[in-house]
Parts: sequence; C-alpha cells; structure tokens
Amino acid sequence: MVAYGVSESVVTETDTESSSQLDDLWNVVVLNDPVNLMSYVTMVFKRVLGMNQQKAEKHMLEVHEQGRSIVWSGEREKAETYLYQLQEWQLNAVLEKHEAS
Amino acid sequence: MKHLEFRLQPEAVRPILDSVQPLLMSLEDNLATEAVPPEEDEMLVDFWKTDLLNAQRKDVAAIVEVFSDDFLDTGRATLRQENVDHFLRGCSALRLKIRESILSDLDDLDLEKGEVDFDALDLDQKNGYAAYALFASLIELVVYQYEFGAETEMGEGDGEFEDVDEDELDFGDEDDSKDDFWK
Repeated sequence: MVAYGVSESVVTETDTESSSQLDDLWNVVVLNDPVNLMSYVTMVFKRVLGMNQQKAEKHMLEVHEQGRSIVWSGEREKAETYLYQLQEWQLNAVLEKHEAS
Repeated sequence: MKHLEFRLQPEAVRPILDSVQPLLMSLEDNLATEAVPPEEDEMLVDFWKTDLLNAQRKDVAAIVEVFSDDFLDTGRATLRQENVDHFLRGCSALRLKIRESILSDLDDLDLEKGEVDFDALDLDQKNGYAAYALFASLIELVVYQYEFGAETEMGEGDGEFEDVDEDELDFGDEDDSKDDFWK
C-alpha cells in the first residue's frame, strides 16, 4: 500500500498552527498488512476520510511501500472517530501524538 | 430491490465455504485484528473492542446471507445494496483470519504474488487458499462495481445501485462432505 512522502495537506495545515495548537494534534496512522487488497484500502480511504482517488491511492501506496502513512492529523476526538472507522474496515490503524518538526 | 449478483458453482464452492466455517464462527467472538484502542484505560478498551466486535458480527452475517440456501440451490449469490459495506468488511475480516490460521505457514510474498505451490499444500491449506482467493476476487468485483459501475449508472438516473450482470468464478471441483452452516 504507498510512497510520495508525507502528506502535503497535513504539513500545509499544521505549518500555520501555534505551538500550543500543535500540542493537541494527533495523527491517524495506517500500518501495512499483507492481506488487505490495494483496491480495498484505496476505497476505504475514500469512504472514511473523504479523499479523492488520487490522494487515496497515494496514501495506499505509501502504506504498501513504506509500511505506514499518516492519513489524517487533527484534534483528538475526530482522530478517534477516524481510527474507529478504519479499524471497523479491518485496517491496521493506530493513533499517534503529532510530533512538531 | 437493487443488488449485485454473482454466479458461482455451488458444488465447487461448498467445500471452500465449509473450510472457513469455523473461522466465521470464531469471528463472532474475536476481532480479526488487534485493533489498538486510542487509550489504555481498561473500560475504554473494553468498550472500544466490544463495539468493533458487534460491528464485525453484522459483517459476518452479511457473508452468511450471500451464501444462503438460495445460493446452494441455484449457484446465484446475491448481495443486497444495503449490505455491501458489511460484506466487504466481512470478507476482509475472513481473509485476515484465514491468513492468521490456515495459511500461517505460507510466506507473505508468495501469497501476495500468487506464487504459492498449490500441489505442496495439504487439503486444509488448499481449501483455505481457495477461500482466500475467492474472497479476494469477490472484494475486487464488489469494489469495482461500487466504485465505478455504480458511479456511472447513478449519474444517469435514479441514484440507486443498479443490478449488474453475473460474474462467473470457477474455483475447482471438490467433494462436499460437511453440512449445514450455510443453510
């Protein structure tokens, strides 16, 4: 499942946040698994996260090739909702505290 | 009612379905994945996993419904539109479970590339591998129809999922020896 590097949209959104806001950011990370099909994972990203086809495929390939992809960053409550939905679709997803670079 | 319909050979698919019956039953009580919750709080973990398990039970039920009496009689497997998500998630859960159990001795890369030496597998593994492939094919077909077939057709008219032509899949010719879960 992906490999174009870190999601540009996430970086763009967080660049302008203050440090206190950044402290409250969480990443929803999808980890690779050897079972789920690429077409299925792409569809799930579109369905759950509202990605378009191109962005969904990019993240899918990132997962497949790099072993993980940050598919969404933002406030904790919404991150938990996405985490639950991705796990409901049987993807290997985890929540991580956003590390400001 | 709008639905997807597949035509399969029940006599060929039956032993494959029978081979995964214990796994489907297991999925009634166990999550297919580890499903790491967002917190370590015991109550929250319990709540999180119980919710996921309840959802997974509905997904398994969608698979059982598709391969019902009607399928065993006619070879026609029917997936109702409202069950598409459940069915896809159920297929994913089942494949994860097959990989973890029946096919645990096989190499990830061989499975991914389809380079498994079928003749070297024992009967359980052959049925498990056939099931793994069958449900992958069904996922591909349903995702394709869902993503592209439905989009095209919905643009033209009533906004509903259209009936689609039958897809035929042949998964070999093996004996039927077990009973009843699918009836």
